[in-house]
Amino acid sequence: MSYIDYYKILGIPKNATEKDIKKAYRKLARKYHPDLNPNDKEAEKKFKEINEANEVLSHPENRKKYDEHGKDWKHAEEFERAKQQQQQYQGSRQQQYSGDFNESDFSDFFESMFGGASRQRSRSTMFRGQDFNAELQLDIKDVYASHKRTLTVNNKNIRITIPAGIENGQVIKIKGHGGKGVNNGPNGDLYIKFNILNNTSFKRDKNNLYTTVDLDLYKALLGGDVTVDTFNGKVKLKVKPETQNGTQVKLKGKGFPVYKKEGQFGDLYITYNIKTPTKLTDKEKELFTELSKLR
Amino acid sequence: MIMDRENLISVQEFCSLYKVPETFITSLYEYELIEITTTDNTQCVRVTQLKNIEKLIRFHFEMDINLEGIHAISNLLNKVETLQDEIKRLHNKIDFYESN
Repeated sequence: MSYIDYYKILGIPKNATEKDIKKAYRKLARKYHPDLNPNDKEAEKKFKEINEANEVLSHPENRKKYDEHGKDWKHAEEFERAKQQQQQYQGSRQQQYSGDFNESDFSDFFESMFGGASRQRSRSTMFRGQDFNAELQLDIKDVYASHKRTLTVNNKNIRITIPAGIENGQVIKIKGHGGKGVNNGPNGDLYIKFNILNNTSFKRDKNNLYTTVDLDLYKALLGGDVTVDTFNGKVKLKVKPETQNGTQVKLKGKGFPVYKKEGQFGDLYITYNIKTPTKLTDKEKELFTELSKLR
Repeated sequence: MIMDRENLISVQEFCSLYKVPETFITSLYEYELIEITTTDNTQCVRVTQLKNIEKLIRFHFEMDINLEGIHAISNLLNKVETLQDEIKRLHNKIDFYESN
């Protein structure tokens, strides 16, 4: 935990007036506010710093305490006693961010100096609870079929159904499982981002799967049967005579499940990779030479 | 109170709870930033819109952005969202080709 220069964060001098602080805060809020920077973690981090600086400097009592003892944060306990006598401040809406924040959104430095009690919302208005964001890493095999899974979010177990066919990076909303609403406002929502790992031999593009199958020269030339792996088992394919290297065949409905469309599947595309024989025997060389003379 | 059955909340009650003037909500409607539903001669907003309306309230009352600004920002944010979805899709596509 290190000292935080709140004046520097807001870009204002130590003798800044309340008006200056408000102006600086609003200017930076318009640049870094999470509402204006969706899914931007850097902006969110920056805004938390700005918000914290504003929490301290925009309230005279907090500012006074910070100015007097800020650098001496290690003696924060002593400040706590003084804090008990401190009246709860009456902030204004214009000075406080009311978006999605929780205890952990303030620095250790702030917590040690001001504790949780100093951060009271001045409004008695109803607001939705904060939205929670979580990430879930799954193997591609886990999302081939719908299944139920229990997640622990903020010490609460939530049982959710993970629909088959969910995509890498996809976010799903679990309604009402975010933070509690303020003053009887509705609860926030839980957003889960899925990171899908794929260590199989199948490449996925949405609902379609792609794979490569090795084919020996003779089967490619003369045709025949080949057994190939699909995502959910093996299938036998007929290889046409004179199949060229790189030929792609489509196995309809053997791809990945279509998200939230039960029973529907994408296709599996198989590319043949023809392997030419190596370490030829003298007899083979002789026969290949003979063959080459026929063309 | 909130009409649970239809998931609607009257504009009047909303404004009272959120301590915002009714004219602000009306203006948001005029700028086509929110939808207002009239039921039994009462203007209401859908509870599903609350998150968005709260965001618009923050723009105006916390960040001091006027309605024209909010209108422009909302349009740009919609574009950002579309582009972020597109980036996600393209990332998955790049992963597909890079792993080949």
